[in-house]
Amino acid sequence: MNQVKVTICVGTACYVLGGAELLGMVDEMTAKFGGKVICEGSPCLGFCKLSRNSKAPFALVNDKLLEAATPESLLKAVEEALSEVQNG
Amino acid sequence: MAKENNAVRLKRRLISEVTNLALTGKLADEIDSVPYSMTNENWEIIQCCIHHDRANLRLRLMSLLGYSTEGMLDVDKPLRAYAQEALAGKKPDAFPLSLMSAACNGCTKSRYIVTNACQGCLARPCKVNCPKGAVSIINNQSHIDPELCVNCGLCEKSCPFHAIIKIPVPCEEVCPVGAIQKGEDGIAKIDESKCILCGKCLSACPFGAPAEKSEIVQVLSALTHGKKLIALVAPAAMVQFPFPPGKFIAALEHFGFSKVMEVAEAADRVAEAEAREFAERLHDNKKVLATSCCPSWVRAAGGMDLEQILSDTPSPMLVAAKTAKAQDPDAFTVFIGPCLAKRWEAHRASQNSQLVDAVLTSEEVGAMLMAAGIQVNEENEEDLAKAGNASAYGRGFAMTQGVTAAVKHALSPSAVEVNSCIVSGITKDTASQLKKVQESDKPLLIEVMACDGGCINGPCQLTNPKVAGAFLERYKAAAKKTAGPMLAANSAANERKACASSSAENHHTTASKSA
Repeated sequence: MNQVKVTICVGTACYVLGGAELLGMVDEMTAKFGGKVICEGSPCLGFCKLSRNSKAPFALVNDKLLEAATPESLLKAVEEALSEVQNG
Repeated sequence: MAKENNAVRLKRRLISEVTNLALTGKLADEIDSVPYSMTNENWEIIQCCIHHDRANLRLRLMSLLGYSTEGMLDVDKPLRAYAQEALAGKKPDAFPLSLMSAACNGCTKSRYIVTNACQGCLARPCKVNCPKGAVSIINNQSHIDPELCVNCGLCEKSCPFHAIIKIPVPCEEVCPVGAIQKGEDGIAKIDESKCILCGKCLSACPFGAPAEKSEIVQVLSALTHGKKLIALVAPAAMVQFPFPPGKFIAALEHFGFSKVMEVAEAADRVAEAEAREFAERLHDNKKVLATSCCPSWVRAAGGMDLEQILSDTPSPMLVAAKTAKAQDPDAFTVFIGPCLAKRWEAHRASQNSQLVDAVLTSEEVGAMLMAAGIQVNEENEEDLAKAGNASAYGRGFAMTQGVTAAVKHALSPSAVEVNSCIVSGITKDTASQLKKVQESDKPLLIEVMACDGGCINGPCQLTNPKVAGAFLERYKAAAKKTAGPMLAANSAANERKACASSSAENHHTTASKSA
C-alpha cells in the first residue's frame, strides 16, 4: 500500500477548534500529492471526550494521531508518512 | 491569513464553558472557578505567570457576560455578580466591542528597523533616499534614528537586500478608519465614534485584546426560562459547517430553538425594495444609490459624510425580525451571522421597537453546539423550505457582488441601464474612492461590504471564506424558488418605506385592525 490516508475529524468540537482550517487543506493536498494521499472528513472520532482539556482538533495520518492539529503540522505529518511509505 | 490560532481557540473554549454552565443552571455558582479549572492541567503560561493568565481569563469571561473590560487589570467583583445580572437579562451596551487593556501587549509604535541582513553597501540607497536624514552608518551597517524617522518607508523600499523591515502594530495596521490609538502607556484604545465595528482588529491582534461584548448568556437564559427562541440565520451563517444547511437547522432546533428562519428570504424582499428605491431616486434625478445591508458600512458612511447616498431600506436582518415578531410577538428573536456590527445595528433599531432580541455570531453558535455535544453531521437533515423560501439571489447576499446581482435582477424589467461600483472590503482608500464615484451622472449602484469578499469573510466566522464560498454555491443551487426578486411593474411610490412593515401587516392584519 503506497497511499497515505488522512482522516480529519469534523465532529463539532474539532471543527470549531480548528478543524475547519484543516478541511481547507484538502484541496491543497490533493493538488500537491495527487492520488498518493487520500483525505476524508470523519464524524467525531471521540478523542475530544478523553480529557477536559483535550487538544482538539484531531486528525489521523494513517494510524498516527495528531493533537491540536494545524495546517502546518498536518502537512508535515503527511510528508513524513509519504517518505516512510516510499523508503519502507 | 489563517484565522485559527490559540487566541481564537481560547475564546471558543470559554464560550463553550459558559454555555455548559448556563445550560445546567450552574453559571452563577461556578463561573468563578473556570479560570482555575481551565489552567489546572496542560496549561501553557501565556503572560508572566499563571496568576496573570487567570486574571485575563476572568476578564475574558466578563466580556462574554457582556461587559467592557477596558482599563481593568482584573475583575472588580466576583464574576458571579456579573453572571447574575446577565442571567436576569441585562443586555450589553450598544457598542459591542471593548479593548481588554490587560491583554494588550502595548506593542511599541510602528517603526522601521535595520536587520543584520544589512551589507553596508557602497550604494547606500537607504541613506541617500531618506528625506529626513535619519539613516546613518554605524560599524558599517545602517542605523535609523527613531527621533528623526517619520515612517515613510522609503529606506525599506530602496534596500536591495530587504534588510530593512517594518515592525507594525497589528491592530492599528488593519483598522481602516484610524479608530485605534495608543495611550502614553502604549495600551491601545478604541475611539468609539470613529470605529465602524468591522472587526478586523479582532482577527489581527495576536494577544486577543479586542473582545466582543457577547450576548450568549442572555440567549441561554431566555432558553432555560422557556421562552420561544427564533433563530434568524444569515445566509453566510448557513454555510459555516461542511454539511447541508438542513443539518445546521436541525442542530439549532436540537439546541433549543423553536424555529429557524432563513434571513435570505428577507434579503429577496430587500433587493426588491432597494430596486424600487433606486427607480424612485432616478425619477428624482438622483443617480446614485448605495446598499445599506452592511451595518459596518452604514457606520462608515456616517464618518465619510456619505449618508445621503445610503439606501433607506432596512437590512434583511430587521425585515426578517419584523416578520418573526409579527408571527409571534412573544418570541425571543436571535440573529445569527459572522458579523460584529450587526449587534450594534440590532441595538440601534431597538430604539423604535424591539425586533432583534439578541445577536449571536457564527463562532459563538459553533462553540455553543460544541458545549451541548451536538454533532451537526449526525442530525437528520431538515427540509430547507421549513426555514423559508429564498431565491438564489437572496442567499447570494452573503458574498460580494451578491446584493448587486439581486438588485440588478429586480430592476431588469425597468430597462434602466445600471452601472455598478463594488467595494469588497473597506480600506483606508474607500472614502476617497466613493467620494469620486458619488458624482456619477449615470445611474450607479454602489455595493459596499466592510469585509473583503462579503459576509462569508466576517470577523466572527467559523470557516475559511474560500470553503464557505463553495458551500454557499450549494446553498444557492438548492433554492426551490426560481423567480428572483422582481420590481413590480406599477409599484406605489411609498411602498419602499412600508417594506419593513409590509410583512408584519401581511401576517398580522387582524391584530393591527383591532389596534
